[in-house]
Amino acid sequence: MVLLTREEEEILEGKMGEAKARALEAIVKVAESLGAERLIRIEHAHISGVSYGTIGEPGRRFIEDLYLSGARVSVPTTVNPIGFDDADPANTGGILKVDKDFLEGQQAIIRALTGMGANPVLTCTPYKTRSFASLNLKPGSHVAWGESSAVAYANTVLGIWTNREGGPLALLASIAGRTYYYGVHIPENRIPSETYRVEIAPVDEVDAGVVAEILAETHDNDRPPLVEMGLPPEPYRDIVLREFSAALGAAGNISMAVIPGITPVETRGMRPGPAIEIEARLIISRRKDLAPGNPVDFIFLGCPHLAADDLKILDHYLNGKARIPIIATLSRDAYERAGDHIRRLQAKGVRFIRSTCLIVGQLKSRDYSIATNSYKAYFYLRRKVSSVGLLSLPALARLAVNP
Amino acid sequence: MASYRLKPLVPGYAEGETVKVERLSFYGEVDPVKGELYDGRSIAGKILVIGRSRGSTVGSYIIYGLKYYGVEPKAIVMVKSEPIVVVGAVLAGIPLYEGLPREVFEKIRDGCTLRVRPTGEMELLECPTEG
Repeated sequence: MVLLTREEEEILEGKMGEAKARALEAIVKVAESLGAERLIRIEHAHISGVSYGTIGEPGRRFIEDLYLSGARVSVPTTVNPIGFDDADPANTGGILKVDKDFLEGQQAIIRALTGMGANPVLTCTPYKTRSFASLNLKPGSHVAWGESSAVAYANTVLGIWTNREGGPLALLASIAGRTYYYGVHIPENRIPSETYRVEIAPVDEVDAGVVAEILAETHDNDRPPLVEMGLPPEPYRDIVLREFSAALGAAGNISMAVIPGITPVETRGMRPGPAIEIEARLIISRRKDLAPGNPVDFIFLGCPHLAADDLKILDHYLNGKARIPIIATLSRDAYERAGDHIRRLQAKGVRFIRSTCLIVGQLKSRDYSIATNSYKAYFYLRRKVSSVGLLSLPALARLAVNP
Repeated sequence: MASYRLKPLVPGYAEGETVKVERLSFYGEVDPVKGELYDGRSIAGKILVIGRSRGSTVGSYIIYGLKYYGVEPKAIVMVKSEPIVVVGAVLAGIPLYEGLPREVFEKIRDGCTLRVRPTGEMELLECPTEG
């Protein structure tokens, strides 16, 4: 039995409208399935599963039906990337395709979401946008986020608490203002169960992706792993943390790691057991397997979306005109904030596409050979294109200039 | 015939032929229109047996999509489930069970006949002989 507050019972009775009642009903059903004892109020929601390319007609109908039934968000709510550049659908970087049906289906989804009151930031890194910063959420805030990379980053780096919410659940939670009290919403479940020590230091983002892949295989516990991993200094550190989080969410179902010095929790005296060693030779040999083998058609950056600060870093490493095209995906917000770097990078041969990425957009061809610094991109693209290889950002910048 | 007790997450009766996969991200590894796994095996009308899930939060929509296109599995039986799968199964009304013992999972192959009941009782009726 899920214990409900009086207000929640009133919502279920339809006193706040039929649509909100139906949303809460679905959440209670999930809570019952999972054995959650109660619900918890949320301060923010982030909705994944909004690209027409990933959810198609059934997803579109689900979202439109909610909108037409009168559902409205009841907490600040942001939205994940869609299937094309919303500021300029014709801007495909030469590698995405957008036909008429796709455009129409995608626009219907966005109309429904904005009609319900969601903020179409259209990024998988909502935590980097100005509108999110203005909410000023404190560590320990409970939220309901879809987008597995953002979930792992929220719990591990921001100290904002969320489970890996399925796309439709995040939307229903936004409407109901609540989610089920379960998983990492419960403080005891945020205490690490095992310690892993990474022998390479500092790691770059490709090492971090490989470490996440190893954790996804070996860490079989609902509580988080404690990961002793030497990180590079800022600003590069944040790229590593984002790629690590994204890889955790793709290769496995880990919603949180505890990294001493990063995760906003008291980690002293909390080192469980003797550390399990993640050996350098293991990481190095896996990296070798994952390195690009074929001539590269283009380089992909921005999974998760590039932040405004990343463009400075890219501008720094890219010492000349790129002879291999670089496709870079990011939010409108980051694009607007990094104007100077955007123009300089465009002159060096970088093609920017806003509000989408190669995972949720539709690729023009299956024959591409791609190089990227994102393990997550590798994970989802490896079954879609002929080859995907991994290199760090500085190595990709060198490859682009001197193929 | 062996019988086991599982945890019914979305209770429902189902009997059918198994398709087994160790680790699965519904998004990226299942085609919701065809009802096929990434390797071409069909899951439509089968009992989908999964070790653990992984990957994208879009997975719930893929499970919902399988039902929408009429190519959903009769039931999903897992060693360990997670909310992304539960949400999809609740919305699609697909019976979902977890707590399949690891050693039983190892024994199950494609083409076994398996039955689940709303109480959580699971019977492994027969498996094709190896080779």
